[in-house]
Amino acid sequence: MSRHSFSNSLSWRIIGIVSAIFFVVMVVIAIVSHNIIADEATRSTQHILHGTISELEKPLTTVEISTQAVASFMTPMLSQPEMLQMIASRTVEMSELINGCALLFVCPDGSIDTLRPAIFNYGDKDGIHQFHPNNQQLQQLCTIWNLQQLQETKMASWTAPYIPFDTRASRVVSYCYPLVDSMLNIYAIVISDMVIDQIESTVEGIRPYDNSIATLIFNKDNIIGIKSSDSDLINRFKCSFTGNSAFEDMVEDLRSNKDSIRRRVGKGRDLAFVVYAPLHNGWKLSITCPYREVLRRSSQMHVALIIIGLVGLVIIFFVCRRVIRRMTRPITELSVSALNMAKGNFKAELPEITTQDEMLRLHDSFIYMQNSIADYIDQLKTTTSANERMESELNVARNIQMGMLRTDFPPQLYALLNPAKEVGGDLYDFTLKGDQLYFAIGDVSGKGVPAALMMAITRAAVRFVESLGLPMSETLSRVNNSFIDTNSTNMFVTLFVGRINLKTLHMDFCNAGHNPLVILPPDGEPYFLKAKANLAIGLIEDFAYEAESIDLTPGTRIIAYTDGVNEAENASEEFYGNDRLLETIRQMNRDMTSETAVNLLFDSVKTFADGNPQNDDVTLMSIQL
Amino acid sequence: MDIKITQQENKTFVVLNGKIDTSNADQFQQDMTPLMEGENPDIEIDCTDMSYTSSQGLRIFLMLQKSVMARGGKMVMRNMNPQVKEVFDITGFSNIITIL
Repeated sequence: MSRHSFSNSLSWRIIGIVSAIFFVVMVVIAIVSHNIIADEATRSTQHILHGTISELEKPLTTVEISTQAVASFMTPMLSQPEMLQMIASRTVEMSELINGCALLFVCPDGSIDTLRPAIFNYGDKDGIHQFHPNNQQLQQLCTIWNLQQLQETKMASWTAPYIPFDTRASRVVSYCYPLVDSMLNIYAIVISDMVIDQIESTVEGIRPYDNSIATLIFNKDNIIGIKSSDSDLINRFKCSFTGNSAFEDMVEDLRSNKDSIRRRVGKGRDLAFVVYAPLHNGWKLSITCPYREVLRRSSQMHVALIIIGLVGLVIIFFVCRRVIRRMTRPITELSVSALNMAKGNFKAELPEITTQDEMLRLHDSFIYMQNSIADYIDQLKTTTSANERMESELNVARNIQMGMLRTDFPPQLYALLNPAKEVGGDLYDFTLKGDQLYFAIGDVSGKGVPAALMMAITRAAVRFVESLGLPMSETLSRVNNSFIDTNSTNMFVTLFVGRINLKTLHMDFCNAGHNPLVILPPDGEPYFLKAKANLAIGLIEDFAYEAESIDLTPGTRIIAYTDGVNEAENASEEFYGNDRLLETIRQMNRDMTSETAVNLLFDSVKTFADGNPQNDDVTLMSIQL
Repeated sequence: MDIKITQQENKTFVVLNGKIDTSNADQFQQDMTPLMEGENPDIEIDCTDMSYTSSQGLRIFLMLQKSVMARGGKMVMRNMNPQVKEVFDITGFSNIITIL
């Protein structure tokens, strides 16, 4: 099977179409599945976000409630520093979450009341301790606790994480609860510290996808959840939230919308989405997930699909090729049969067709063609053999006809007969009897076999009548009557007979409708011999032919011809004509033999016709006296 | 070869145009055959535009002439050009066919 087989090309086309469809389907699947997976990932991440927020809020709420309880215990005891000290100490001791408890008195103008010393208790692994900050530490703590803001809002609030000035090792966050008098002036603040470790580990534990980052944002400058190894990622996502517009945007988002927000950040391979939501105390939790990781599994699915698709395409190709090859096998076999037929084997076996489709119709047409051609060839063979037989018979006839024409020319005379077909209707004859040279030239109307038969009759009649030595007029009359006896087809013959006495050069002649002879005197111009036309042979019985005579001079040349000469045509349908005839004869000189003269004229006619098929028989005769 | 045959007052008028040669002589004979029978034998042939006739053509004119005579009619050929007339003269056909 050649590479350019029908099955191959059709299979390739099918593969092309299937591949195109496969490609489109793949693209659609990729886009849709990416969207679905991305949406699903966002939703599940938001779920995680809210779950984590609830988890984070539980200890915060506990600390807030505990602090409010401590505050309510402390309020009636403000004048008893020992009691306050004890309450703070007990709080640290009793609470699992609170590891530091403080009370700070505030003047109505917002400054720290230095007359009533603050109470500081904290717990570490060694037990409960009192702490006495110096003035500078106290000022710093006021900043950390954000006293100014408390004064303005009169609302409890949480601080950002900070490292305490006492002996505690870990960072803490503080809940600051203001005590307000009837004039809405803050006179004291209760502060509870909570270790940040647990919150930090909770935040770090959020990892829905590889390389995803969860951050807890306290304010612009305080973020937890970012490990040093993550900072690169954060930068790549352009989402460090520190001092850049992303953070401002997030604050703005969260102010207007309490629910979680989704944003896209980064670009290209680092494209990621961020979801974030506020805790009840104003902290914000955010989770950033790179799409690359989110879609990793769907990408793996796509690779698997492509591999399956490619394998499928290969299988389709081979199956298609096999099926098509089987279906088109009859075509291949028919082409072999056709080749056999072309080589001449018309009995070439045809493949059997079992289907009822176009193959069967082709097969039937093929049988029909086979039979038609076989019949045609048979017919052609018959016709050809008939033609061949006829041709060979015609060749025999030609030989017979040519045999009728004398070729034993005397020195004075030469003649040439060239039929247009195998046999023709022209004739010539001559007899030398003593000094008398008889000659005749004639033309039977028509051509081919009918003319040839009449030519034979005429030639025989002429030969016989000449042998009688009758006058020329009588000669033609007899030929005429014998011709009419045998002519039932209205054929006729133009015939010229002449008799020259070679001694005296006296010529008797009689013309039965034939072209006039041309006489070329030794020192003169050629001219047509005027002769009474009489009537062609075969037209009217007992017609009285009139003979004439002329005396010729030595050296005279006589040219006799049939109308195949002057009516020879060239491709532009011009006749050779009388003028050319005379011009050619003018060029013949005295010394030229009759044979040379005849050939010269014949060549001239042939040159004129220039390959144009000869319409009529051509006969030429020259007599040189 | 173009032939127009019309009938007028018991007479057949034939107008010939072109050449009669080997290629169309048989066709010409077929066209003329109907004129060789029937009760109105008189024929007038206009040869103004006939440029040539071969001996086959002559034979057909002879057949026409004979059939016309046999039925007691008259055949006339008119306006023959000199070249054609020469052929009729040479062969003596002018003696048996009326050429005007």
